[in-house]
Formats: sequence, C-alpha cells, structure tokens
Amino acid sequence: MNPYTELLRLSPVGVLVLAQIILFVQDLVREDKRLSQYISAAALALTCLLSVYLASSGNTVSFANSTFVFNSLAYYFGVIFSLSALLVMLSAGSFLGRAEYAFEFSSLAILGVLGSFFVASSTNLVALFVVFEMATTATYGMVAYARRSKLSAEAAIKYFVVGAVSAGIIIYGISLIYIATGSVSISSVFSVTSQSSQLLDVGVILLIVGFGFKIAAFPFHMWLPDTYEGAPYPATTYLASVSKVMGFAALVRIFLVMGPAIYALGGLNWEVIFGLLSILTMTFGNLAALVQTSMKRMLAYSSIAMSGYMLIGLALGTSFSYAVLLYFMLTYAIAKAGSFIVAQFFESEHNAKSIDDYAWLARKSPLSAFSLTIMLLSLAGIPPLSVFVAKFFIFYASVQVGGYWILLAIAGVLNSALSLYYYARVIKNMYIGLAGESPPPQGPRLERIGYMIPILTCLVLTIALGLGEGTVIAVAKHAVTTLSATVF
Amino acid sequence: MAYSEILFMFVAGVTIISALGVVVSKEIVRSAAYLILALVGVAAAFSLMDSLFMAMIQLLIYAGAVMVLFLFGVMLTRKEAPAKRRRLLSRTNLSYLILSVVLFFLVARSGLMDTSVLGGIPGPVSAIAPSLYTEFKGVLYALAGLLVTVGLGAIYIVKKEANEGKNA
Amino acid sequence: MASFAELVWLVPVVPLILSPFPIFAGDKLPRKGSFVAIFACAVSTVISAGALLTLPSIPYNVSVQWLLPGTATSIDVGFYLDGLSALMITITSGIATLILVYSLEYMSHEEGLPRYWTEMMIFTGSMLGFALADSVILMYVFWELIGACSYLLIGFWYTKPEAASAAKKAFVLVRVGDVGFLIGMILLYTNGHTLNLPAILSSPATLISSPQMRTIIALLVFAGAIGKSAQLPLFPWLPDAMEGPTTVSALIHSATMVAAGVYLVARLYPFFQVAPYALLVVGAIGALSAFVAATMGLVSFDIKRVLAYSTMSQLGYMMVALGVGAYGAAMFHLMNHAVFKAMLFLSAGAILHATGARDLREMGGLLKKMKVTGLAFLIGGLALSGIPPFNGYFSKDLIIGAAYQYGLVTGDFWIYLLVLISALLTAAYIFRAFFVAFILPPKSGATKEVHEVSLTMTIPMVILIGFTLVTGWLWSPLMDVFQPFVTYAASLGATPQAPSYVGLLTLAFALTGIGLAYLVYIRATVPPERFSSGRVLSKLRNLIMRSYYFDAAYDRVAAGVENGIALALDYFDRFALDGLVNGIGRSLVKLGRDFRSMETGEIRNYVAVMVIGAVLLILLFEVL
Repeated sequence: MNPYTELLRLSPVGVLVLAQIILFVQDLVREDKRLSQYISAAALALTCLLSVYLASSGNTVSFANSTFVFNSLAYYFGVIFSLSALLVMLSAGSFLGRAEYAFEFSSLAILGVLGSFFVASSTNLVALFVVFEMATTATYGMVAYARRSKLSAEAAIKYFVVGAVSAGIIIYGISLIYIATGSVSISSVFSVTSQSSQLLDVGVILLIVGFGFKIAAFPFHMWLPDTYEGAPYPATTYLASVSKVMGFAALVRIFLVMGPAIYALGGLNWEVIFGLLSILTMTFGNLAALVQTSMKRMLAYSSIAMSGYMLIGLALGTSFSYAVLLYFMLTYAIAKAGSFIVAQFFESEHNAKSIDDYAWLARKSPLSAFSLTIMLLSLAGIPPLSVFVAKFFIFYASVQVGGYWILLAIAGVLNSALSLYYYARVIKNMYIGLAGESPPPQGPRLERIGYMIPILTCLVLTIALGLGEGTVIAVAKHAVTTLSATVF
Repeated sequence: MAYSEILFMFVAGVTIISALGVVVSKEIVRSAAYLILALVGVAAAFSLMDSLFMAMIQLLIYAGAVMVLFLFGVMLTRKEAPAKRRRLLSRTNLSYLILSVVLFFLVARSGLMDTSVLGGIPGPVSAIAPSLYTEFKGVLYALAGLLVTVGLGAIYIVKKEANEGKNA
Repeated sequence: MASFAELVWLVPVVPLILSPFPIFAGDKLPRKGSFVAIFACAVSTVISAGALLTLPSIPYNVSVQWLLPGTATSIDVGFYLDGLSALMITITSGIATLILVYSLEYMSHEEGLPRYWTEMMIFTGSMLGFALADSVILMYVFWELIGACSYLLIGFWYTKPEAASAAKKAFVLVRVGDVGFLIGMILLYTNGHTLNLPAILSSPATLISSPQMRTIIALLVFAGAIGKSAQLPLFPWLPDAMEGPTTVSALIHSATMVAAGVYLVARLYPFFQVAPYALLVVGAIGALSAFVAATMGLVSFDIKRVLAYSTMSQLGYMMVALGVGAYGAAMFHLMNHAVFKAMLFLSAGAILHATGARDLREMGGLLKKMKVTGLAFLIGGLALSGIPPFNGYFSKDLIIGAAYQYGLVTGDFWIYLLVLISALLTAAYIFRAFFVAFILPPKSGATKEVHEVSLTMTIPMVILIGFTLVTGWLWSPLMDVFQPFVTYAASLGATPQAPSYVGLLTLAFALTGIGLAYLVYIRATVPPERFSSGRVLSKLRNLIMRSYYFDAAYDRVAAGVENGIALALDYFDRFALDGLVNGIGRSLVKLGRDFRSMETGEIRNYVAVMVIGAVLLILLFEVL
C-alpha cells in the first residue's frame, strides 16, 4: 500500500495522538484553560470529518501486525465517538472555567476517544480488553473531575469499583475462551476441543456480563444512576454517549465476527441472552424513569431504557439489525448528549435540578427549551425524528425475523408508549408550568452562545438524521457486510 | 494422589485464605502483608505447574515491586483504622460467600472434564520476547496508551489545588 | 411561471415554517406577530384557491422516499393534490384566515398572544398537511400534530382548572381513537406492504386479499375518526373543549380537527367500500351520534355547548352520508358546515366579547343591540336547520334523501328515521338558543351596556354570510359542479337521489322544529318547564343533561386506571426499586443495615447483583 494512503487511513487516530502531544506541550509552556479546550475540540472535529470521509469511502488499513484493523465499521464508530466527544468539549467551557485545571479533562476526553476508536478496530480479545480499559480509565478520571465535590467522588468510587469487578469478569471470560479455543483473536473461524465447548460458553457469558456493565444492561446497570447523577455534567454526557457506544462497539465487534461460530461450536444461544436482557433492561429503565423527580436521574434511567432498545439489534443478529443498531447508536448518542447539555445549561443558568424546576423555562430560554423538546420527543420515538426512525427500523427488523423475536418489537412499542409519559412531563413543565401556578414575569432571555453551538448542532442532527436516514444506513450496512465478510 | 498434587492443594488453600485475610483484616498494613502472602502463593502455584518463568515474574513484579509501592502508599497516607467494627459473620457476607462458591462451581463444572494442558507446554523462555514484540506488539502499544491514561487520571486526582500550587 | 399545483407544497409548509416567528420574536413584532400568522394563512389560501381553480385533470403527486429506500416496501412521503384535497385545503386555509383576522380584535387583551399565534399556525399547517398528505404515515404524523395542538389550544388558559382538565380530556379521549388508527396503519403496512395513497386507492381489494382483514383495518382507522370527529362513544371531550378561546372552537369545529375525522374516511373511501360491514358501522355510529347530540343540544344552557353538540350532530350526518354511500354529499356538507359553523361560533364569540356571558339565561334582546351578530346567528341557524336558500339546506337534503334511498334498498329505515328526527331537534335547539339570546327581553336586569363589536370582527362574519348564501348552489337543481369535482375515483359512485316528497318532508320537519321553539319560547303557549316535569320526562332530561352518563363512565374508568397505575408505581417504587438497589438482600437474606458506605446505595450490593446476574445467566443457558 502506498505509505501516504496508509497515513491518510490512520489519520483519525493520528490526529488524536498528535493533539495529545500538543496538549502536553501546551500545558508545559503555558497553562491556558481555553486553549486546551479549543485544541481538543479542533482535533475531535478533524477526526470526525476524517472518519466520515473514510467510513463512507470504505477503506481498510491494518495497524500493528493486524492487531488493529481500521475498516468502515471502525471509522463509523469513530464518527460517533469523536462527534459526541466534540459536543462534550464544546459544552464543557463553563465547567472547565470554574474547574482548577482544564488540561487533564481535555486530555482524558481525547484519550478516551482514542481508546474507544481502538476498541472498535481490535481483532484480538486481549488487545480489545486493554484499550477498553484505557477508555474506561479515562472516564474514571472525568467522573472524579470535580474533586471538591463529595458527590463526584462518590460517583467515581462506585463507578470505579463496579468497573474493576467487571474488568475482572471480562478477563476471566477471555481466559476461559483462551483455554477452550487456544486463541485470543476475534475471528470467525476457530475450533474447540470437544470437551471444552461448555467452557467457551461460560467464557462468552462472562464477556456479556462484563461488557453489560458498560452498556448498563439490567441487572448490571446499578452503578449508572448514581454515577450519572454525581458526575459533573460534561462527564455524564461523555459517559452516556461515547462510553456507552464504546461498550456496544466491543459487543458488536465480538459477536458480529464470532457469533455464528460460538453458536455452532458451543451451542450457546447468545441471541436469546441479549433478547432477555433487552426486554428486562428497557422495561426496568422505563419504569424507574417514571418515578424520578430529578432531571439528571430521569435521563440516566432513560439511557438505560435506550440500551434495552439497542440490545434488540444484537439479539436479532442479522446483518440488517446490526446496521440498524449502528444507526441507532448515532442517533441515540446525539439526542442523549443534547439532552444532557441542555440540562447542564439549565442547571447552571436557572439552577434547575428537579423536573419541577423546569417550570416555565421555555419563557426564559426558548431556543434551548425547544431543542430539549425536540430531543426528548426524538428519544420518545415521535416521527419524523431520528430516534423514531431508528426504533422503527429495529422493530421492523425484529418483525422481519419473525417467530418469538416479534416479542421484542411488542415490548419495544409498549415501552416507547410508556416512556412518552415522563418525557412529556418535562416538556409540559417547560411550556405550561406546574398545575395551579401562575407564570413568572417575562424575565430576561438567557441563552449562552457557548452552549447554543452544541445544542443547536444536536438539534439539527436530530432532525436531519431522521429525514435523511438513507445514506447513514447505507454506510452502516456497508460497514457491517464488509466486516462479516472479512476473515481475520 | 501424587505428592505434587497435595502440595498444590496446600498452596492454593494458603492463597485463598490469605486473599480472604486481605479483605477481612482491619488494619491496612496487615492486609498488605496478607496480599504479599497471596501473591507468593500464586507464584508457588505457577512453579508447581512447571511455569517457572511466570513464577519469577509473579514474584519480581507483583510480590516485589508492586507491593513495595503499596507499602509506600500505605505509609504515606496511613490513617487510623475505622473505629466502627463490621460484623464479619453477617448473613449478608455469608450470602456473598455462597454466591462466589456457586459461581466457582458453575465455572468448574464446565471445565472439570477438560484435560487440555495449555499452561503446561514447556517452551524456551526466549520465545516470549519475539512473540511479545511482533505478534502482540499491538497489545503493547495499547498498554502504553492505558498507562498514559491511568497516569494522567491519577496525577490529576492527587494534584495540589491550583491556588495552593502557586503559593508553594 | 410555475403552476399552482407545483406550488401546492407551500400550502402547509408556509404556516409551519413561519410558526416559530411569533413565539420567538413576537414581543418585538408589531401586534405580537399576528401579521405573520395572517400572512402565512393568506398565502396558503391564495395558493389553495389557485390550485382549486386550475386543478390539473390528473392528480398531482410529488413524493420523496423516506424509510426503507430502495426496497419494495419503501415508505414514501409527499403531497397528493386532487379534487378532494384541493377542496379541503381551500376550506381550511380560507376559514382559518378569516378566524385569524377575527382574533386580532377578539384576542387582543389576552396574555401570551405570541403563543396563541404560533399554535394556531401549527394547527392550521398540520391540518393542511394532513389534507395534502399522500401516504397514510404522513397523514398519521400530521394527525398527531393536530391532536397535540388542539391540546395546547384548548388549554390556552391553562391557569383555569376547567381549561386544563378539558385539554387533558380532549387529548386522552382522542388518543384512544389514535391508537386504533396507529394499529390499523401498522396492519395495513404489514399486510399490504405500502402506505401510499395512490396505491391503496387504486386497487384496495387486491392489495389486501382477505376481506376480514380489510374490515378490521377499516374499523381501526375509523376508530381514529371517531375520536377526532367526536362521535359516539368518544365525544365527551368536544363540549368540554369549549373552555378554550372561542376562536379556537370556531377553528376546531369548522375546518380543522373534527373535519379531519370525516376527511380521513372520505380519503380512504375506496378502501372502506371493499371492507364488508365497515360502512354500515360508519353509518350507524353517525346516525346515533347525530340523534344523541341533538337531544343534548336541546337541554344545554351554555351557548357554546349548544353549538358544540350541533357540531357533533352534523358530523354524525356526514358519517351517515359516508355510510349510506353518499360520498359526495358528505363532502358537500363538510364544506357547507364549515362555513356556517364558523359563522355561528364567531357570532357566539362576539356575544361573549360584548356581554361576557356564555349562559343563555343571562342573555336576551341582543338583536337590537348587535345587528350584524344577530343576523349572522340567524342565518347560521337557518342554514343549520336546513332551510332554503342557505347552504345547509342543499347538503342536508341530499344526505337525508340518500339515507331514505338506503332504507329502500336495504330495508333498514332506522338510519333515515334517526336523521329525520334529528333534523327536527336541530331546528328546535338552534332556534331555542336564537330566541332566548336575541329576541326575548333579558330576564334579570342586565344593566351592562352592550354595543356591536368592531369592524375587524364583523367583516369576517359578513364574508361568511356571503358564502352561506353562495356555496349551497354549487350542487343544487340549478347546477352540479360539486360532485364531479370531488369524485376522485370511479368506484365512489353518485349520491343516490330521493324523490322530491322526501325533501319536502325533511323541510316540514325542520319548520316544525322552528315552530316548536317559537311556540314554547316566544308565544309561551307551552312553558319550557313542562318538558321537564313529570317522572319520566324529568328522568329523561336528567339522563340527557348528564350526556347519557358517558362522562361519569369515563371518569370512573379514568379514576380506576389512574389509581391502578399509581398503586402499581408506588409498589414498584417501594419494593422493586428500593428492594433491588439496596437489597437483593432483603429477600435473600435480611440485609444488615449497620454499615452503609454510601449515601444512596451500597456498592457491595451492586457488585453482588452483577454476580448474581452472571450466575443466573450461566444457570439458565448452560446448566438447565
């Protein structure tokens, strides 16, 4: 391969590594909070654009003796990671302004994306585990970033302990798979000694449990509400978008390639496991979100519920369902990140924490309230917004597969209807206030430009991705088919 | 039962008991001492399985270097042990114990009839380096990234407060 | 220059695109952005009218692929312009413009005007989009938007508890029907693999081969129409919706929300025709609604509620027309009704504006003081009763005639009888309202000085009076341009014509109704109290006054469901959430609470739950 082509194809990660070095140097020369924020945002934007280009043009390049292979799938995930992280960095301005240091946050965000990018491209379970831990460690630091806040520290400790246990479970699973197959590479062809097929299955189940922590599937979700609530908002946004999609990336990477062989050799019905987790997760998340009074916690539980819908994509295991899952993750990450950013803005500007505090906010900040409305409606699955399209396709996929899998679609539709209730409550509060309370006088309208850029980006993308879903799904389909066709 | 097997059982028992001791003991220095014992036990288990190289690495890196770091950390940050005593034999703890035993048997059950000897294939130690630096060099790079991230996060958490730093 | 048909996509888009202006910039714009709203609706009106007059001979359809592109089952969205949709958008945009002009004055003293203009624009725009949509899914999207806007507009005075609860009622009851529509749409797609109107309308019988399935789908879709058009049994939201501003009622009752239900059935009429029994259900529900609503109109004292019941009753007529195969007559009545009902509401709004009264018993002698308003109400009442030469006469006559013919063909005369009696009741209740409010002297000393409302409010009324006189002739013994115009498919068939004595009988019934009202209220030969004395009569009156206990029944059901959900949630909150988070423990082992490391939950338990999950998964999938 032409070295320049190779360089171009590695450029998304290259840009991030370079940005990290620049950040180190910049921090040594002169501490400047704004500058480090801008550098990381610029690097993420560049990565995002490069990934979009490379994902749509279907390139492949391998790195480090084929331990990491960057193909359309990896680039597609890279788009989600860098775009969400970019949104985080854009919205983190005022948080970093108040924090003691800004350099570490920017660096951790970049390193987290770098790790996630490699997760989506690894072809080896051990390598995948190491980069997975790299990305997770970056989020530990981010969650603990508000060092003086007791909540932040508590959130970080919980997250860390549960994360450490799940890391142990993953490595246990990998070692069992290694014993069973004698190989740690993620490949569609492997063999087991006949007696150890069960060992392989147990290993795979442990992998699902370990990664289930990251995507917060029921019952491995328990850390999530506390951590989301305690972490500073930018970290929460990062967890809900980059980090969660990274968990799915690992699962997609493993099961898309190894799935059929696991079923054939070990006889493990991993699709049923995902289906079971999916129904439990979405039902639990929605029911719990119904009774929340804090906005941040409600969004946290709703993100658990969204994991449930996305798990359908894994449960069906068809190439169409994987493609829809990819599209779903993009729309989810944007809508969720956008909601958290608006919540952050409302908390810093209007001191709005509980859902009741959201009363009349549409009068005070009409544009952000409108954006939040659109994004919540999108999450609730109102056409023609993007998450609706994603849900529609994923339910369609399960109907297409037929049989008992239709149950997933039914559960999903019922849950979506249920979820409308708690999303609508926020919207109602913002626009027509609480019952029996008269509106406040028309105050000054507060909309900060620093927040409006990411919020409006999310708004436009939420609408645009719903209307123009064709191209994205075409790219996702291409990514899935190239990967499942390639043998490593 | 062969003599080596009895020895292995003994070593494994010691390791498990010391691991429990790490969790149970009230004083942090004593915990650290138990941890050393547990790590040495693992090293002994490796050597009993004819993996001398792994045993040496285990001794040098974990029982040696890592533990020294731990002890330094304990000495520098040592605080009084929490006054409140936790009841060791609570039903909660018992249920956790039962849980882990069940998990162990579930895993063991699927592997019990397995006779593969993956860990026992003897080979030259010199073969490790080439495979580490060629076949698995990607993992090595990834480890570098992991260490950078860990370092950055850890340094941030223990960093002095910004205004303090200026005064100092 | 582009033809009007090519511009028709602008009709819904202009109000929708411009709708954010009043709410975001209304305070800086002159008159709170009202001109943006009027301008947008006027543009829509001009384009719609142009499209209506220069309609191409073949339907104009433009669409883009939206979901599942490139597959055989792709879902397209776009606009579909034919006689029916052109007529509907012209009615909607025209009447909306008049009502918006009227609200310039009517709403001028209200708080939150920018919100009002924005919501009205979205409401109108959604209705226009609904009328033009070329696929059922796009129709459904706009359908939901209409519902959401009606919720906001009915609850415009959200600080008033009645308004808030009325809005909620409208939303919930209409949604019950919407669920039916949604399920019907999904069944249509899964069985017929398309949601495109041209495909559905061209060969509905081959699209879905099973007649049972066709009936199920048609009835589910009709459930949506029942909700939106306030037919039995989902009607109680309609009278309560009178808590909103009168202009909103005028728009809801004439050309937008309730018309959407009828339009939905008319749009999918070829499909209903091939669904056995579906049209029978449509006609039966329409006839019952027409009758029940007319009786309720007779006992109500609130002038707006009288009008609301009359809307329900007239929509029942349209459903009857659809049910008995008089598709053209249904659309004709839809148009005429939109005109005179808007006028009646504007007139009632003028009374409310001038006197502040909604209760008939507080009014009286208004004709002398408010000439234009009184005239508008009188003409509206005559049109509603079906007296020539006003437009209501022509369409109602056609519908009742068609119902008679239907009776002749099938032997079922009860639909005809119900609508015939309703015609009498209609005339009676509307003239009862007219006599009490305008002719009789005020009962108690209404000292407040009453003046005619300003020109901004009378001009729309006068324009509507003109239309009331004109539109009826479009399909009359003189000419028939209307029916061929809206008949977009060959299968629709011509409206059956009844012999002329049927028409005369109808007219006699209507005149009897007016005469009865005259005798009771003006001549006072029979005091109105007579009708509520006696055991049977008072019981009957009570039954009607309480809207046949539908309200009470819904309240019961709602309370039950609400309590049930609250109970379940409470249980879930207390046991499932707390129980799961903090104590797997509590059921497995009694959790020792002597040590809590964290404020909200214990990490140990989190980890324990994780491990339990792993154990259960292995047990389930490996051991069992």
